[in-house]
Amino acid sequence: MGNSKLYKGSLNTIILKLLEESDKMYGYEITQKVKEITKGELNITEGALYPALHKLEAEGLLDVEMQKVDNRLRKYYKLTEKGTTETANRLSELEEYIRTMQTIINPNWSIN
Amino acid sequence: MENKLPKEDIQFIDTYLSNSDIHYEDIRIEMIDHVASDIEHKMNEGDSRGFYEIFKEYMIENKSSLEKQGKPFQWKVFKSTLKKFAANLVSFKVILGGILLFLALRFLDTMIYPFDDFTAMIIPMLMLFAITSVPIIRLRGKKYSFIGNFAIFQCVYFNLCVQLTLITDFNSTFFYAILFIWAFFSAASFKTMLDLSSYYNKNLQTI
Repeated sequence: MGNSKLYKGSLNTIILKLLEESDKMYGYEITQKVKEITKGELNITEGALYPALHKLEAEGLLDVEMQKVDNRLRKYYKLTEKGTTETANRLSELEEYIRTMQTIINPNWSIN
Repeated sequence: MENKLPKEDIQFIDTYLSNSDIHYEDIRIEMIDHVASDIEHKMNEGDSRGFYEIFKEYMIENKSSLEKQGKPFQWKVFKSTLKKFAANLVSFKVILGGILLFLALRFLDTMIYPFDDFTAMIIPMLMLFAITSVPIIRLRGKKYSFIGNFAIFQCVYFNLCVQLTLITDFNSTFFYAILFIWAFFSAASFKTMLDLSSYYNKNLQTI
């Protein structure tokens, strides 16, 4: 994985974006999805993922649903109405940030 | 056919995590699913080693990250429980409960047994015990993160109230003001513990 400190600030937005694209997800599924999309470049640890999920839940951006799956309980997360609105805001903030960084690092490059 | 861990393996993970200081049930449930999912994923990818070998490797790589979840004080849980407590402070039931508790204490003070240093200390302690007992009884003695984290807040305000009453004249307006705040906070704490234990009782049944 690259510099984890650079990814850390965007972890909540990454989680919100993934949940926006699916109905509901559980913790391990999120880590696997991120790994798959980034081709193994980004590996989210349990120590980073669950505190982030719990924070988003406490902020009212995520709702939880418990299900019994294969001899154990599974906690699913899904976006609340507030979470859906917040996802759009955070994604546009992140895009704006990437654009600004690009103009500093490589003025000739654009993400459109 | 996909590999699924049997009940005995899930129980093994549960016991291991519990012995690794991940005491809170709500946190451990999520960790069990995470570890079990990873082991099943490896088995489904063709890893022919047995459960214990894969589990051992997983723990060597991830134990420190898992143990971070076992911290007794968790700021995020503390904050969200406190938010529920604050919301309960303005609910009708709490306002009514707070007033009734205040009146009951005043009745005790004026009609039955006037407050002294002993009662000013023992009554809040009994109340604190009663409030903490609610989730412990309702959740059948299992530890949940909200109980431990909220207990810290309760201990602070109960202790503050006791210390203030001990340096105050028991017939002063200031004493009754403290008593009123304390009754109000107790009613809100009681409702917060009731609400949260109902939520966890409903959602997190044991395997």
